[in-house]
Amino acid sequence: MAYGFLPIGVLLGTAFLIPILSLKNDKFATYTAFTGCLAAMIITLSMVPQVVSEGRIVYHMESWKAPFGITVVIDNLSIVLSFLSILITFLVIIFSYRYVKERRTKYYSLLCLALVGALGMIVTGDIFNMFVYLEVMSVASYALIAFNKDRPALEASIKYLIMGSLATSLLLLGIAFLYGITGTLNMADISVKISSMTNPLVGISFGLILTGMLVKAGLIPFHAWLPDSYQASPSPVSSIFAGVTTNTGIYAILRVGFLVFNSHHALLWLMTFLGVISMVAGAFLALVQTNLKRLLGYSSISQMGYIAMSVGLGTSLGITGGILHIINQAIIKSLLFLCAAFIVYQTKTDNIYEISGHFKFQPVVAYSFLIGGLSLVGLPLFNGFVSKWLIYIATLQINPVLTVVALMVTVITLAYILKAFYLIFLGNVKPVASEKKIPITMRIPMITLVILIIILGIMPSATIKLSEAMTLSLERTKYIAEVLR
Amino acid sequence: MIYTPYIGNAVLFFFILSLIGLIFYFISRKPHKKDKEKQTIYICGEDMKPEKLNIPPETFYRYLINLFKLKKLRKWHSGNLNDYLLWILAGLVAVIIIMVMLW
Repeated sequence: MAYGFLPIGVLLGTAFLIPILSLKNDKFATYTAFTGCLAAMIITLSMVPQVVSEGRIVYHMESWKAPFGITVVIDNLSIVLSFLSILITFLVIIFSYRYVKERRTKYYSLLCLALVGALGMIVTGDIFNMFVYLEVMSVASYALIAFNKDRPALEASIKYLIMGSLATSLLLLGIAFLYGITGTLNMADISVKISSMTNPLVGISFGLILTGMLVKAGLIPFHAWLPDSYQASPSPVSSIFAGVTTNTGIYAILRVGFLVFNSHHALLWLMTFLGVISMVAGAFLALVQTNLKRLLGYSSISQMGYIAMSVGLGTSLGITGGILHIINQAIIKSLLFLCAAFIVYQTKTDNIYEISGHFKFQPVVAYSFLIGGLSLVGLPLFNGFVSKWLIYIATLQINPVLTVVALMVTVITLAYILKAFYLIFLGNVKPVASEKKIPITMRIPMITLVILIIILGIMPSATIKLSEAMTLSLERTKYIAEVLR
Repeated sequence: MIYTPYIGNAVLFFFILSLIGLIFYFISRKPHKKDKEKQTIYICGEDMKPEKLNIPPETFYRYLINLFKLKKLRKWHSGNLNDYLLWILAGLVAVIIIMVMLW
C-alpha cells in the first residue's frame, strides 16, 4: 500500500474499529478516535522532510502507474492542509470528551469518516476518486448534522442531503463527460488531453464540476445549506465543518481549476465575482443574526468569499493570500466554534440575546473568542492580519475597487464580532449564565488554537514563505511531469 | 497661491466627502421615533440610571441594517428547500453559460 495513503487507511480502520472496541464501554470510542487521529497526524508529519526536500511525492496504488492506477499526490499544499484537517479533528475529539455523553460510538466513527473523506479529497490525483471521497465526507456530514435527532437537526440534515446530493450528481455528470471526452480519470492526464481540445463539452463539464464544488465550498448563491447545518449540528462538529469540510470544497476548486483546467480566465472571473458577492452578503447577513452559530456560519461564507476573490485574481500574490487565508480562517473559525460550543454547553442556548455577562464566569473563553474574533477582522499580531494584508495588496495591484470592498467588509466583520462579544460576554449577568467550571479537555483545544493564531501572527515571514511554497504546488506543468513520469 | 495637482485633488476629495456627508444627512432627516429622555440636554449633576446612559447593543446597528435593507436579504432566506434548490439551479445555468461563452 502506498505510504501516502496510510493516514487515510489508519483513520478508516479507526472508524470501523470504534464500534467493535466500544462494545462494552463507549468511552473507548473516544480513546480509539484519539489514538487513530494521533497516529494519522504522526504519519503525516513523518512525510514532511521528504516533501520539503523533493517538493512532491507521487505514490501509485499497487504499482499501477499513472494514468492507469490511482495516484496519491503529496505536495506542500496537500500536506499542510492534511495536517491542519487532522489537527482540527484531533482537537475536536479532545473537546468532545466531556461534551458528547451519548452515542459516542456513532459520533466518533462519523468524525473519523468525515476526516477520511476530507483527507482523500486533498491527496488524490484521480478525479473520480475525489468524487468518491467527497461522497464519504458528505454522507458522514449528513449523519453528523442529524446527530442531535431534534427537529432543526433533522431538517438541516435533510436539506443538506438534498442539496449535497444535487451537487455531487452534477459533479459526477461533469466527470462522466470528461471521461467520455478524454478516456482517463487521472487529473494530470486529463489536463494534458484537454489542453489541445476546442470541444465546448469541456467547458460544460467544467461548469458542472465547478457548480458541485461551489455548493460544498458554500459560496453564494450555493450557500443555503451552510447556516442551517452549522446551527443544527452538535457544536464541536460545526468546528470541523468550518475548519475542514468547507475548506476542502475550495481546495478542490483550486486543484481541479488550476491543475486540470489550467486556471482558465472564465474560472478566475467567476471566482472573483462570486467571491465579492459572498464576502459582502455573508458579512451583512452575519450582522443581522441572533444565533451565535448561525452568525459564525454566515461569517464563514464571507471569509470563503475573501478566499475566492483573492484566488480569482489569478496573480501569484492573490493565490498565496487566498491559500494562507484558507489555513488562517480554518484555525480561527475552529476556535470561534469551540468557544460557541462551550457557551452552548454551559448555557444550553445559542441565542446571543439570551446570554450576557459571561466574561465574569469564563474569562478564558472570553479572551479566546476575542482573540479569534480580532484575528478574523485582521488585526496585526494575529494570523488573520497576514493573509488579509496579502489579499489587500493583491487586490490593489489588480483593481483598487476590490480593496475598498474588502476593507469595507472588514469593518462589517468588526461590527458583528463586537456585537457578539458585547452581548455574550459583557453587560449585565443574566440568570442563564452559570459558574460551571471549564473542563481541562475543553480548555486545551481552545488554548492550542489561540497559541497557533498568535504564533502565525507574529511570524508573518515564515507563514508567507510556507504559503508561497504551497502556491508553487499549483504549477501545472511541473505537476503533470511528476505525476505522469 | 499657485495651483498644484495636490491642491486640486484635495479640493476634489473634500468635495466628494461633503457630497457623501450631505447624502447621509438627507437620509437621516427621514422622520423617526424620538426617544425623549435621550433628547433632553444633560446639564451635569443629574442622577442618571446607567441603563439610560447605555447605548443598547440591540439597536446599535439598526441604522446600518435599515440603510442596506438587510431585513429583505434575511427574508430571502426563507428556509424553503425549493427556493434553495432553485438558487443552485439558477447558479448552475449561469455558470454553464459563462463557461460556454468564455471557453
